[in-house]
Order: sequence, then C-alpha cells, then structure tokens
Amino acid sequence: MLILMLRTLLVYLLILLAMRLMGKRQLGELQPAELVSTILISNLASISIESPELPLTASLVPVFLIAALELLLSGLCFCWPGAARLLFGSPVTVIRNGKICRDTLRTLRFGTGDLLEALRGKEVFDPAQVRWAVVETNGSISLCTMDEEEPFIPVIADGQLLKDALRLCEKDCQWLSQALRKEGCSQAQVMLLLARADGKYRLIKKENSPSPQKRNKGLWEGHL
Amino acid sequence: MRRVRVAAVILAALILLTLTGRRLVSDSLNALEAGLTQVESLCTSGAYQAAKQQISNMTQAYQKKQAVLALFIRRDKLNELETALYGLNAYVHPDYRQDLFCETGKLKAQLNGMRRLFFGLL
Repeated sequence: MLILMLRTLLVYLLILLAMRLMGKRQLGELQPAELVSTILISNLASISIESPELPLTASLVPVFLIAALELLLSGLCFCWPGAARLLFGSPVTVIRNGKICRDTLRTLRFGTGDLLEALRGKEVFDPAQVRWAVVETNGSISLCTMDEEEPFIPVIADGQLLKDALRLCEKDCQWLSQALRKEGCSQAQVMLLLARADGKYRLIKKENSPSPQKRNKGLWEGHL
Repeated sequence: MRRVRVAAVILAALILLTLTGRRLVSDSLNALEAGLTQVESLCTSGAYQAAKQQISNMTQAYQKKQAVLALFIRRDKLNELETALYGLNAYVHPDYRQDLFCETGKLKAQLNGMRRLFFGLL
C-alpha cells in the first residue's frame, strides 16, 4: 500500500512537471494536437498507478516523450508559420458585413444551427448584426458586431504576407508597398502590420519588440 | 525558446535511457540463454555438480540484476523467470535429464517471449 502511495505521488509530481513544461497554464483553450497529448498523458499516467507490476518507465517515458514532442512542435510552428497552418489550420471568416459565407460553412461542416448556437454564446441573436465572425483554429468563434468599429486585420505577421487577409481588408500589394515605403521598412522587418478597409493601419517593427519598455515606441498609427 | 532546448535535453535523455535499457535487457537475456545452454551441455556430458553450480551462479546474477531490470520489464514476468530458474535444481540428476531439458526449453521460450515483448514493434 505504501508503495502504491509513493508511486502515485511520484507519477503525480512528474506529470505536473511535464504539464508545466508544456505551458498548459498559459492556454485557455487547447488546439487539437494539445488536446490529444493531454488525453494521452492522462491515460498513460494512470497505467503506473493502476498496475503496480508495470515498471514506472512504462508510463513516464511516453509522457515525457509526448511533452518533448509538444515543445519541439511548438518551436517548429514558431519558426515556420507554414507548419502551424498545416498542423492547426487557419482562422476562417464565416460572416462578413452581416452576410453568412455558406461555402465556408460547408467546408467547416458547420450547420447554420451550429453557427447560431455559437453566436448566441456570444450574446448575438441576429447574424445581420455581425460585422465580422471568425472561427478560430480551436473551434471557438470571435465576433465583431456592427456597433463596434471595423477591426484591424493582420496582413503581415512575423515578416510573412497574409494574402487572404490583404484581400479581406480590400487592399492590394501596391497599397502595401506604399505603406511600407512610408514607414521606411521592408516586409521582412515587420513583426505585425494590422490594416483596415478604410486605409488605417498599425505597424510594429521587429527591432522594437524585444524590450517591453519600448513597446509604446514600436506601435504607432498610420493612414494612407 | 528555452523550453525547446529543454525538450531537446529531455529527448536526448530518453534516447539514452532507451539505449541503456535495450543493452541491459539484451545482455541479461543473452547471458541467461547462454547459461541455460551451458547447463544442458554439462548435463549431457554428465557433470551434474558443475551444472548445479552454474544454475546457482545464474540465479544469483539474475537476482542482483532484477532490481534494475524491474525498471524496464514487468515484475510478474521477472518473478516467473526467477521461480523457474530456482526450480531447475530439482531436475539436475541423471534420472531427470529429459525433464531438465524440457524445463530449460520452457525457460528459453519464456526468454524469447520477453524479447518479443520488449523489442517488438507490433
């Protein structure tokens, strides 16, 4: 019995360590890969506790392997946004200026009932009141209603141009080149460029991002 | 990106642990199998005392390694092996030679089964 208690305590502490390493506390909602690893880890942890005849390594080696792979995958996604898009997908617009994008709903296998339920969860009962609705990669829905200002859309993130986003805010590459020329930087130097249909934009350069004290200097509004 | 470095260290540690475990289990199982073959050949040549001594040496060596092997192999399997090894002594006699070969054959099959469980992918 004592051995069982000690094994349980040891497994519990090591699982806490593994979850802490993965940084789950920082996430409010899980991506699919993270959900899979969380479920796997919980099942693996119970093996050692339920079966004292099994060696501890039978549980702990897979748990730490999953934790290490999670961390490496997150590092890979940070370095190559294309990998993140491949693994986790991209956010998808489902309502624009009050109109429901039926093709997008079909691609997501989202019924209108599902969409209305998600909108009601955000206290919106009429899709016509929605200026913009986006289904995120974790399945949740983000809304901007007609009462609110037109949201800013990221068109450059970590130096990478998001062409679909540029089209969404009704701008083209020529407008983008003008904006970058005005700010005196190249696309590769941009950490984040948020733009709106009315031409307003916000730009954060990469060299201004490391130090939190310089954050206000790095963010300024522009208008073309 | 410090956590990515931590992940790389964890992966390296796991690979090292896996390789060490494979080597330890493989060496232990091979040593046991070689010992059993030697017991058979000693009994065939009539050296029963030497065969008993060999079994005793094998059992002691196995008991010493059991605590470490328990990190990688199920305890019940290790206990079964120990019980079977200890029981071999009863068959080391000219009248029970066939029974001894039967028991050593069963032990070798157990060792093969353990190899498949530990090293098998599917």
